[in-house]
Amino acid sequence: MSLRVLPLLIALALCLAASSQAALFVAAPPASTAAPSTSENASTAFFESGSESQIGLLCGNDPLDKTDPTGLDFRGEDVPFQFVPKIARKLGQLDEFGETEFSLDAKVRYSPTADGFVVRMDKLNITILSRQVQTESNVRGHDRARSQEAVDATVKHEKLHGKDAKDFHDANQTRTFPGRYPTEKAAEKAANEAGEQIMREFKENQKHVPAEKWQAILREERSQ
Amino acid sequence: MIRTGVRIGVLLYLILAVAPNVNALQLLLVPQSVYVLPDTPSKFDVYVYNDTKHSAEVPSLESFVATYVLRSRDGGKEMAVHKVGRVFSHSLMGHKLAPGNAEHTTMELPIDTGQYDLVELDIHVGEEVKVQSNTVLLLADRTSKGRGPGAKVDKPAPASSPKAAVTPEGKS
Repeated sequence: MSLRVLPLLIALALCLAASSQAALFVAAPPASTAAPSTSENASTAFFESGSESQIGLLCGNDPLDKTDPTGLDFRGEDVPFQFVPKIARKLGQLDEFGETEFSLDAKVRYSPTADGFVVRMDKLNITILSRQVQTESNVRGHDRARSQEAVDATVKHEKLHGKDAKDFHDANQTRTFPGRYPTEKAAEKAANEAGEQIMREFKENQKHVPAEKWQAILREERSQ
Repeated sequence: MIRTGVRIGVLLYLILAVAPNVNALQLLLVPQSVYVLPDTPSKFDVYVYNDTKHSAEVPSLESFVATYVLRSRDGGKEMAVHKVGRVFSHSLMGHKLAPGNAEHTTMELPIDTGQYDLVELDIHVGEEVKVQSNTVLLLADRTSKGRGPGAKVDKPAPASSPKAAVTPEGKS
């Protein structure tokens, strides 16, 4: 066994020790498709404090209360904006002045019909968990306060993301996916792919399109 | 004969040397409890490990998609696939992870088990390059609320046990 595997085993042991109930694994970790990088600029230490993300940040502190069990409402439009000098992302970076965090909860059902299985959306909850706006920008290596107009434009920007998300939510509540599947197994696979498709489409929905809708706001945000 | 063997050996070496290392990153999903409680998000530890000799690009662990299906003890299953995603209005950039290193984070997921007993769940991170986790099996616990990871687990009495056979009157 390679010594490089040792940290992972230690981590696993620590984790299991913290929990009194052991996890039941039903499958080994499948191979990643990530390509190795040759760059050596990282020195991320195991268990370094910066690698711990915050549960509250991930889940908006109270994800269940913000979940819509019926899938009929878009939630979180009243989530207040947090104004911060810089948006802290311990993992990853941002090249924007604002950020909205969404939770998507989709249930894709497959049902038998006379000529095979069909796939349709059974439930789609979208919830805004958090919204942040940056009050400083970095110009040529120096942090400086953003103008009130620029900050307001970022608020407008993030609200527009919320509106796009709501439109997506409303448009997909009763969505059906084309195709008939001869077996239950094929239908389950199709339902899984439909769920992935929904996630992909939502990410596309957030990509500042059409450009003309966003141009003015983006310009205002960059004004100092 | 020997020459053929040497040729095959060289060929195998070349194939292994130039083949892309598909095991670059391992994503390990570890539930903090095997029980899924009603109206309580399930907590998970997530480890990403770089199992190569080079730095590897790690997608942000803050954005992920979890997939789960529900099954019952008798072998039946819900005819549905659940997806729970954490998505940001702007894509989060990845970062480099040095060879042999790992990172840890925690995440919570709301899991709706309905009337089913078992949850089969995995996650993936990344968009263009996906890193898939192992699959974990969780048990739906509809009988208690707020049971912590360290709480005592009551074992159900088997039907043939004296406890099950004896009624308050003393006989079944």
